[in-house]
Amino acid sequence: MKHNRATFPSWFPGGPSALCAGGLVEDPPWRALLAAVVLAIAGCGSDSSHAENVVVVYCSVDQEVAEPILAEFERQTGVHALARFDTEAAKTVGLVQRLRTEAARPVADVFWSGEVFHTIRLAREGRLEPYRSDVTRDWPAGLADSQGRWYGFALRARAVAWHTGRVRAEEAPRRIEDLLDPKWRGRLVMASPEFGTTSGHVAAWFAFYGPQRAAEILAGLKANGVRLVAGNSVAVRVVANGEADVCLTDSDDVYAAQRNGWPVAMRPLGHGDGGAMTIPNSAAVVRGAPHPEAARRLMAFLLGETTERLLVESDSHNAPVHLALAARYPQYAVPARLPVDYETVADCVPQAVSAAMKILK
Amino acid sequence: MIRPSGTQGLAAATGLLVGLVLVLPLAILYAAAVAEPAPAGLPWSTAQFAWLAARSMILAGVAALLAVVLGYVPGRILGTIQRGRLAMLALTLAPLVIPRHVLYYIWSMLLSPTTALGRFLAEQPQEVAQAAAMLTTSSVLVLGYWPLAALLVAHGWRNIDAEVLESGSLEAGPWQRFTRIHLPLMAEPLALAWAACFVLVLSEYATFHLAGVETLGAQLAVVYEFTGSTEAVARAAWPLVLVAAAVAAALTWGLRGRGEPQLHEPPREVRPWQWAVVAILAAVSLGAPLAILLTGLHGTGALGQFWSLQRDGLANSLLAAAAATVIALVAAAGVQALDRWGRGGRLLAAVMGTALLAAMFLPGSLVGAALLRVQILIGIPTPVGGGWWLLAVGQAARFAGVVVVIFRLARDSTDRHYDEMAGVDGAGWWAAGWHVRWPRAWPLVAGACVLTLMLSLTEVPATMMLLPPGVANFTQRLLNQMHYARDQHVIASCLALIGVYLVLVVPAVLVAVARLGRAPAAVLLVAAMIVGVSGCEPGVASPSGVQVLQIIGTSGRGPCEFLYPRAIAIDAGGDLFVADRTGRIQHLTGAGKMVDVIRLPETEKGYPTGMTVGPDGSLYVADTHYHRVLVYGKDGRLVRQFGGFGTGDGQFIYPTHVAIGPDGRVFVSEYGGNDRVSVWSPEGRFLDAFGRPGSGSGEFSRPSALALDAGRGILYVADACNHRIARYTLAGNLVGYFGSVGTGPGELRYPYGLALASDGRLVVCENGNNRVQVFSPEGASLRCLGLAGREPGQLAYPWGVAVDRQGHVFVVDAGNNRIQVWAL
Repeated sequence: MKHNRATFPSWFPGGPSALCAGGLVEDPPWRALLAAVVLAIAGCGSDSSHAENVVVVYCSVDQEVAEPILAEFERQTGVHALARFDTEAAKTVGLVQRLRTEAARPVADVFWSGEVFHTIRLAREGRLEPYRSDVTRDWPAGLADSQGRWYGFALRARAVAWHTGRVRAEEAPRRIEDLLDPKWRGRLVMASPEFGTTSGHVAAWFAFYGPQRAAEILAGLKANGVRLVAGNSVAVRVVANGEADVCLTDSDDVYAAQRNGWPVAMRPLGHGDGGAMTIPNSAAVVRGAPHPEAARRLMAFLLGETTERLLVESDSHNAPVHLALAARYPQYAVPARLPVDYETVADCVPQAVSAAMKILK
Repeated sequence: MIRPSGTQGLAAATGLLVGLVLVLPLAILYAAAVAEPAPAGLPWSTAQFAWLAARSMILAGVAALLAVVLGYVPGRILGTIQRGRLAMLALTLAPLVIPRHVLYYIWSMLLSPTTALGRFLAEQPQEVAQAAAMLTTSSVLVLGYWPLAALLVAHGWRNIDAEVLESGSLEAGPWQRFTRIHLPLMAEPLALAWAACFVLVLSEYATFHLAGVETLGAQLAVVYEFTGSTEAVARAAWPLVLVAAAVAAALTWGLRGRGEPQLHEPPREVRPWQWAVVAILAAVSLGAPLAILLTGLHGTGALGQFWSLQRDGLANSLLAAAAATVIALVAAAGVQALDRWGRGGRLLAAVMGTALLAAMFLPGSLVGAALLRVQILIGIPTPVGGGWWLLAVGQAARFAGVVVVIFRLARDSTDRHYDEMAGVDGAGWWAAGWHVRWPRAWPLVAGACVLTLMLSLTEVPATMMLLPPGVANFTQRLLNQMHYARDQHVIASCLALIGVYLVLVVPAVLVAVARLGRAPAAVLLVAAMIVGVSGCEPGVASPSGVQVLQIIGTSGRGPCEFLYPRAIAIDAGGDLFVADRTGRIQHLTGAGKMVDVIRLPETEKGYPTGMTVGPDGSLYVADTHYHRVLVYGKDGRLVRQFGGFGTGDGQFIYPTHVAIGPDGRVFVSEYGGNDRVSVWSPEGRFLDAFGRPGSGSGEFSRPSALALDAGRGILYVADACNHRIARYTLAGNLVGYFGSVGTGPGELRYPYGLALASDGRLVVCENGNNRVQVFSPEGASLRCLGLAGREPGQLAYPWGVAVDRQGHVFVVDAGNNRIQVWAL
C-alpha cells in the first residue's frame, strides 16, 4: 500500500524517479528531438535498472478495494505496483481505450478489470498476451480464455434489490420474469443498458433466451415503465431514497448501500430456471508489456487465493471461485449461475444494447 | 506593433500554450474526426440526437436563466460597492470551490434514507421523492453557476452610464426602473452571463451523470462507450464546440477594453434587501453544504483515514494544480500583455483570449483527448509514477480562461493610466507591473490563483485522461467514493477540500489584515500559493511619527474619490482643489466634503500636474499635456487660457505649475526641453522668462513646482531632477539653492510639490523620498515627515502639497489615492 500510494511526482523531493515507458530508437529525428525536449523540461529520465521491480497495472476495480490488494502484492514480492485507475463512471472503457491507443508502445503490463466483456474484446483484438502458470492449471471452465489471454475470478452477481420498507422479502422478485408482472408498473429502475455490467446482463438474456424472448422481456420492462439511470449504484440509491421500489443492479452496489445502513435488501436475480448472471473480475497480460516478468508475478498473485480472499472480505464481497474459499464463505456464494458462455455473451452485446436502447428509450 | 519591453516572453508563452496545447491538438482531433467515416452502431438515430441536443439546450437555457436571476443582485452589489468589494468578490467566488458534482452529492446526502428527511420522503408517494431529487439536481446547477453570472453582471454594472440611469430613474418606480432602464442598459452583460452559464451547463458531465440526467455533455460518455473513439466523441460534440466558440468570442468582445475610463461614478446604492439576498445565497450555497457535511460526519475516524490514506493523493493533486495555476497565470498575463501591443496586439489578444475561453467551455474530455492524441502522435513516452506536466498543462488549458476573465475584470477595476504614468517615468512593463499594478491587483491575482487551483484540483474529465499510472489523485478517488456511496469518505474529502481553500486563503487574509508589505505578500503567494481575495492594499507597518489629522478620499471615480491625484491648490477660505486621472478637478472643503466638480476640456493626452488659486479666487491650472494654462472663475467656468505648444516666448512644453505674484503677475514653470519659468501679465500677456535646461547655476531640470513668498519677495522653484530648491527674486534673479540629492535631512529626491506656510516655512513634497520636508525661509531643514507605505502617515509617490492658514498640511498621496492632512 505504501509504495503504491506514495507516488510523488519525480520532481518532488524524496519522490521516486520517474520511469518512462516506450523508447525513441525507431522514431524519426524530429519526433525524438521534440520528445527529448519535453522530457528534459519535465525531468523525466528512464530508470531501466529498476525496470523489473515495477509493474504497471491498469485497474478498473474500485480503487479502495484494489489498493490493499496491490499493497499486499508489493509486500509479498517487493515489486512496485503502479496503478492507473478508472472512475466508476467511465465503466472500464477509459482504460480499455487507453490500452488501444498505447498498443504501439504499451505502458501497461497487466489489465485487471472489474468485468469481463471488454477484456474479451481486447483479447480478440490481439492486445493481450497468453499467460499460463501453475495457478491457471485446472482453472474453472468458462472463466478462462481458451488461449489463456484472460482469466475470470471473484464474481459479482447481477441482483434484484428492493426497498425493505416498501417491499416485503417474500413478495420481492426472484426471477427476471417476475419483474414483468404489472404489479411492478412504475416501481422499477435499472442502469442504462449501454453501460457496464448492465449491457452484459442484457446481452446474457439474448444468449440465454434467444433474441425474441429477450426482446419480449425488454418490452415487458418497458411496459412496466422501468426508469433508466446512469449506473447501478445510482439505481440502488434511487430505491433507497424511495423514488422506486425495485432495481436491477450489481451485488457489490447493494452491499455498499447496506454498509451505509440504507433500507435495501437483495437476492441474485434468477432467469427462468437458469440461475443468476455473474460478472467475474478478469486479469490479463498486455501484449508487449514493458515488464513481462513482473507482469507474470502480478498475474499469479491476482489469480491466487489471497487476492480472491481479500475481494471476498472487502466491501465488494465477491463470490470466490477457488473451492477452498467458496467453502469458507458460503454467505457470498451465488447459489445457481446462469449457464451462459461469456464469449457468447460478449458476441451478443452490440445487438442486445441496440435492441435495448430502441425498446427501452 | 508597439511592444512594451519585457512582454515578448509572456506573449510567446501564451502563444505556445494556445497554439501547441489547444488549437493544434483540437485541430488534429477534428481533422481526424472529419476524415474518418462516422462510426456505426451509435445508440441513437439522428432524430434522437437532435431531440437530445434540443432537450439539453432547453435544460441548459433554463438553468442558466435561473443562475443569472440569482446572480443579478450579488453582481450589482459587487459592481456598486467600493469598500469591501474584494471581500464580496471572495464571497461570490467561494461557492465555485466545491465542484457541482460534489455539491450534488452533498445535497443528495440530505435525502439519504438515513436522514429524517430521507425517511420522510421514502414514506411518501414515489413522485414526491422524484420531485425532490429533480429539485436537488437543478438547484445544484443553478447554485453552482450564479457566481459566474454575478461576476459578469458586476462588470456590466460598473460600466453602466450612471447619468443615463439617474436621469431615466427620476420619475419611475422600482419595477419600471428595473424593466425600462436597468434591463435595457444591462442587456449585453446579462446576455453574456446567460451565454457563459448556458454553455457550461451544456458541457457539464459529472453532475448529470451522477443524477442520471441525459444531456449532450453527459451522453458523450455513451458515444465513447460504444465506439471507444475520441474522433467519434469529437463528432458528437460539434454542437458544443460551436456554441463554446461563439460564446467565447462574444465574451471576449464583451470584456474588451472600453477606452477612456467611465467618467461618471457608478450607481452606488445598495438596499438592505439586496444584502439579504446575498446572505441567503451564501447560506444556501456554502453554509448549508458545510452544515450537511459536518452533521453527517460520524466521529473523526473518516478524517483520520483520509489523512493516513489519501494525503499523498491530495499532495500530488495540489502540486499538479499549482503548476497548472502558474501556467494559466502566465498565459492570461500574456493575453494582457498582447493587449498593449497596439491594434495588431489587441487582435492577437482577442484570438488567444477567445481560444482560452472556448477551452474552458468545451467538455474537458475533448481537451484531454486532443492532448493525449498529440502526445502519442509525436511519440512522447507516457511517464510512469511521475509525469505531472501533461496533467498540469491540460488543467491549465482548461482553466486559463478563468484567469483571463478575472484579469480583464481587474484591468477594468483599476486604471490603465497608472501604467502609462509609470511608462512616462521610464518604467518597463515588468517594473511597472511590480511597482504599479501588483500593489493594486494582487488580491485579484490571488483570487484568480485560488480559483484556478481549486478548479484544477477537482477537474475530472481531462484529469482522468492525462493522469499517469502510479500517481494517486484526489479527484479521481473522490468521484469513486461518491459512486460507491462511501459517505463518510466523501465527507472527509470534502472537508479536506474546504480545508485546502482555507489554508490558501487565511494567510493572504492575514497579509491583508496585518498590512504587510508587497514583498512579504509576494513571498507568501509564491511560496505556498498563498492567496487571498480580501481586499486591503498592502502597506508598510513602520510608524511614521506623523500626527495625521484626517484622510480625505479613497480610490474611485465618485465624489471625494481619486485615481492617482497629482495636483492640489488651496484657496483663502481653506477649500481644496484636487486634480486626478479621472479628468476632474474636485472642489472640496477642507474637511473633505464635495463642493463642486470641474471637468477638464480635454484629457486624452494627459492631466494637469499643478495649479494654484489666485488672489481673486480664480483657479490657474497648468494643463501640462496640452501646453497651456487654464483659468477658471470662482463659479467653475473656464474664463480664459493662454500659452500653446512651442519653445518660443509665450509658448510652453509641459507647463507644470503656476504661482501668482502680489502684483498679479503669473509665473509658470515648464519642462520637456524648455525647462524654464516664464512670467505673464495678469491678463495673460507674456512678459519674460528665466532659466534654461541644465544642472548648473540658473538652470533647471524639470522644474515641477513653484511657491511664492510675497512678504520676502522670493519665488521658490522645485528643480526636481536636480534635487534642489532654487530661490529667485520676483524679478527673476537667482538668489541661491538649497538641498542636494539624498535621503537625509536637508537632502532631497525629486521634489515635486511646494507650499508656503503662513509663517514663511517652505513645505517640500519629495516624490522620491516619499516624505514631506519643512525648510526655514533660508533653506535650513526643520523637519522630515512621513515615509513610504500605505498606512496613515505614510506616502506612496506624493506629488503635491498645500498648507492652510492653520498650518495643516494637505499631502497629495498619489499612489494611495488620497489626501492626507497632517499637523505641520
